[in-house]
Amino acid sequence: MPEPLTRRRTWDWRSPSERLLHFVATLLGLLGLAWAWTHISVRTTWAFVLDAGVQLQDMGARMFPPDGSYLSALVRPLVDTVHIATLGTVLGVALAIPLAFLAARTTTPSERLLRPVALLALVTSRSVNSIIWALVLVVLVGPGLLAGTMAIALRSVGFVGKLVYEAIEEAPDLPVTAIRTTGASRAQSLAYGLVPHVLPTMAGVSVYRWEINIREATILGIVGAGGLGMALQASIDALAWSRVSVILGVILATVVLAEWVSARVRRELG
Amino acid sequence: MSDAAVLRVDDLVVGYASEGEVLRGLSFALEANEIVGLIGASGAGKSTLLRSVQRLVEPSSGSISLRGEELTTLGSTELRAARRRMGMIFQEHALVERLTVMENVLCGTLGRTGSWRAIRRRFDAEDVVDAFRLLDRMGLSGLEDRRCDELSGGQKQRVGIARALIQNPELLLVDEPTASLDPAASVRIMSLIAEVCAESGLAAIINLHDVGLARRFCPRILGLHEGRIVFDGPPRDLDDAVLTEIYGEEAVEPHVVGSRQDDVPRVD
Repeated sequence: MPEPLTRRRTWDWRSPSERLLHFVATLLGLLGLAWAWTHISVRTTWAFVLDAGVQLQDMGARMFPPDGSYLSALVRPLVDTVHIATLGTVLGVALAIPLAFLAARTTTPSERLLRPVALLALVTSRSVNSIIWALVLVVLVGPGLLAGTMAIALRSVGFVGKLVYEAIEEAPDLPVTAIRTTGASRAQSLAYGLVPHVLPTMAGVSVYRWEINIREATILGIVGAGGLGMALQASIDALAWSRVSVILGVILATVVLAEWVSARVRRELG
Repeated sequence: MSDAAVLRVDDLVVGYASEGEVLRGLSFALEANEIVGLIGASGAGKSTLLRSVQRLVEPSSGSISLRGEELTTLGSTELRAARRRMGMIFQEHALVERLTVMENVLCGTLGRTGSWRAIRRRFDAEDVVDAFRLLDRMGLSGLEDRRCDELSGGQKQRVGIARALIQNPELLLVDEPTASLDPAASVRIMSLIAEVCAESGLAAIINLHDVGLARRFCPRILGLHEGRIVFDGPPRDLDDAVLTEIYGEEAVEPHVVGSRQDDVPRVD
């Protein structure tokens, strides 16, 4: 067969220089990982690590059998934990929704002033872990359920607010415009044109946050903010390992149940 | 001030920061009962004209008046009152898809419904009766509790028309009502719009990309080219030379812009 007169056309995903760049970047990444590992390992007391298996056996032996009689004493802290999570979520969502409308570019009344303030509030809420919020609040309002509930609420505001304001910005604007052309007020056109679109997101995100909050509320007691964590802290301090295993079991069961409820509700909403 | 014209547009100039002037000095008047078809290539300014009448885009200069009332200088409260008198029908129907048919239609009454009542969906009983009447007229009887995302394209457009009509408008602004519909559904929707205009003595401006539909349903046609009116007359004066001026050279083959009368599908 005769040779074609034109050269065969080729196609490459990456040019040779791009390939070189990717190779160097990957190499640097791996070197970084290796350096981080040596950094951790020189600061590790290897005698303790090598001993871990023995310690695990020892702790396991002390945890078993779990002290079943302790279960009845956990009912109250368990109810407290669910209360903290649920009230905290409701409070957090109530604060988050107005903030989301202020933060969304499409609904904010003032892009220059209110939007940055709302965004800052949401970022602040998210950047502080709920256990840190609880530490601060225990100092401010004293130990107990109120501090736990407020900590959960403050942490939830940023999470719910961010996801809801993103949903607001992504909602179609044509229905809102169409309702405005009927002579409706701005508030009315948002209530009818926008809210129906973001309502499923609001509900789904709130339930998802509630599930996370159940998990977080179980440990808040460690810093004195009420619930199961308080019982956990007390049992660890008293070296009552057979009680610790009961508490861990109850936490696991609660979290699994909360995740199941959350998944169920969100599937219904979808 | 009295004025025979429902809508009077005088030397209207509209520009966007990004694209420069889109409308470059438009003037026309619309009498009661008059149905005007607005044709022109994409980007000629058809949608911008309708949007500036509603003040969704602000005119740079010129005047727009509704029965003698100047719209370009209205404050927000008066503008809301003026918007109630102009029903707008959108290209992609612009319904709230997650709401029911009835809720979407009643959206057209929000301008006269208090905010607190509106939030609780407590609409005026007269308005609800009116909504049922319009749904019957639109051929949507029994669908009032259906969510709009369950409807076909033609049904959605009918809900959009009902939403505009329940305002009891003096003027309809219709933006490409058939753009997302097949030819047969397009003819049905245009017939319906023409009929309801005739029934209530409504004036209407209808943007159309289909010249055939404009010829068939609009006794008067405005041709827009690059933000200027280059034709204003009855369909019979719309010849190939005029179409060339409106759409440019390559468009004037009968099957492209439908310069013949008989290329619109008939629906019985």
